[in-house]
Amino acid sequence: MENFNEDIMKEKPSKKPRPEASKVKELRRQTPPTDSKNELPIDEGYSKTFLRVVIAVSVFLISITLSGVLGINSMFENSRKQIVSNFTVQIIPLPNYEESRKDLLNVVNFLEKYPNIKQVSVLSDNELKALIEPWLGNNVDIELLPIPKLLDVQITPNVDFDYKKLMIRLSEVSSQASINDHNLWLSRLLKFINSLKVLALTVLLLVALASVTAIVYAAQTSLNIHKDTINILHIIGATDNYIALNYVKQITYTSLVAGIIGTLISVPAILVVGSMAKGIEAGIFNTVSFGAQNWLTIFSLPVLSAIFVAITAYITIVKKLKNMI
Amino acid sequence: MLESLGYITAINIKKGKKMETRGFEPIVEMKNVSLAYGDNPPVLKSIDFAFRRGSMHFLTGKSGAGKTSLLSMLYLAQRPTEGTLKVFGSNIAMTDRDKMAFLRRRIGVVFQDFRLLEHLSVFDNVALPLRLKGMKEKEIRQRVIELLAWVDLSHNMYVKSSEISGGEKQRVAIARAVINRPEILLADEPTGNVDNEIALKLMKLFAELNRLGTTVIIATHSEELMERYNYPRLKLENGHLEYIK
Repeated sequence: MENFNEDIMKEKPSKKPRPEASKVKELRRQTPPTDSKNELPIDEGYSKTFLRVVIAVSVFLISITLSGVLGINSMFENSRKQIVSNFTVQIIPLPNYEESRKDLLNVVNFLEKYPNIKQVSVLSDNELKALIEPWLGNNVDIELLPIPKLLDVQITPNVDFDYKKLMIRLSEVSSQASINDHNLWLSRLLKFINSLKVLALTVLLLVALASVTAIVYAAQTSLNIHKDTINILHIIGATDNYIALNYVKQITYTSLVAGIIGTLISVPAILVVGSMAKGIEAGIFNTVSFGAQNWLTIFSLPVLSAIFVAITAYITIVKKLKNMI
Repeated sequence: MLESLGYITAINIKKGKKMETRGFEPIVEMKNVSLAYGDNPPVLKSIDFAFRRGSMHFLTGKSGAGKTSLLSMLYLAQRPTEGTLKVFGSNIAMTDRDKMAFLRRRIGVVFQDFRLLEHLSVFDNVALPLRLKGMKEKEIRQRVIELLAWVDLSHNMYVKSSEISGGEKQRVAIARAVINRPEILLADEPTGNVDNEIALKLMKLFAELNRLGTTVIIATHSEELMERYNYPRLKLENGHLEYIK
């Protein structure tokens, strides 16, 4: 032991001046400042501002696109409900007036007794005249024209009505009667709406792709800026998960705030477009409605985008950290 | 004399001297360890050495001899390019990232340039190793306040570490390194930036930690320091490690 330096050997641990117990107690009683304890200081730099702007703009675009899709969807659903609750039966007149009248009565009787049919109304001559008026003018004697008789048939709502079966049964009652159930028109509308949905989905995917690129860029930039800090954290014993979560926690909060801003900006735009659509007063557009469920979807976008950012950032950071010490 | 105290722990192949390890379980073991950065020639070559638990060594050598590189391997920031490095019995080449992090928590490091997190307060810098361990905030507060009072930094506890003097930063760095009661303490030129009085205090602190069971390795090029404190020396020269009594 004599080989040790005497200065050190003279110094006994017990003689080392210990902090006064009262002083330590007093320090423990002090309230610590509530400053952030984030080990990764991502508050500085352009990457955070860049990310904020990108997220706000992305959420705005997604909100507008989504509201468009939801609005069109509601329009289609409203129209479908309205249209499928009734159909038209057309009866081509026979050469003999009495036979034609008898045929009409048979069809009406048959339909009135048919399951899930609520009401059968025969369109009056005046109603028929109004229908052909745009083409033939108002000075037409409808008795002189071979116009078919039209029946407006109301069916029980929310029932899966079998038109094919009715068509077969109806042909047994009258060879002159046929059904127009609007299915062709609806299928064309549905096709158009589906095309719009695909277009909207493409826009959403592109916006998501742009967002992912921005998040990856922001995360990698931030990690490069704070490489020294991360190295220190690793040396002290921080796991990749600890560092990643520290970063993700901050970036998620930033995204949530930016997402709320983006959504709030989109709300007036949605309201303006919605009121313009209603103002057209052109048949189908009157059925556009934007209910509470749709608004809930729009207002959930900031949370969904924050979760999306958190997952993307976590994956990016953990991947990048694996290349560090 | 040192041999009888169990300080001779090395097997130095370069000098051809095979020294006894006296049947102890080494805390750090290096077998034929080399380290190279990229395609450059190795900075450390075929090092065979073992550190006994509770030993204290000086690590010396000229500037650029590889002291910092060797230390960085010991605090697990680098994996050897060749050979086997075992720390706490774990072969570092076979250890996954998460386990490496847990091993690092058992090692305290005092850097020459302190490497504090400058945006954090003195308190938060020292508390960091405990937070990483998931210790409760109440216990962290108790331990950090006591240690900061001991190193005479209570008055600057909540000041950002960027706003304190070099000597104070040194003490924060040391407090951060020892708060976790490390089993290994590595210090890179710890007296390089401080005056003689503080250097003496630091050496007393390291000696005391060593007496409490911590394995201490101090990298220095100060002949004066090594002559004043007669701990066994390890000299790095041309990438080879040489044991000097």
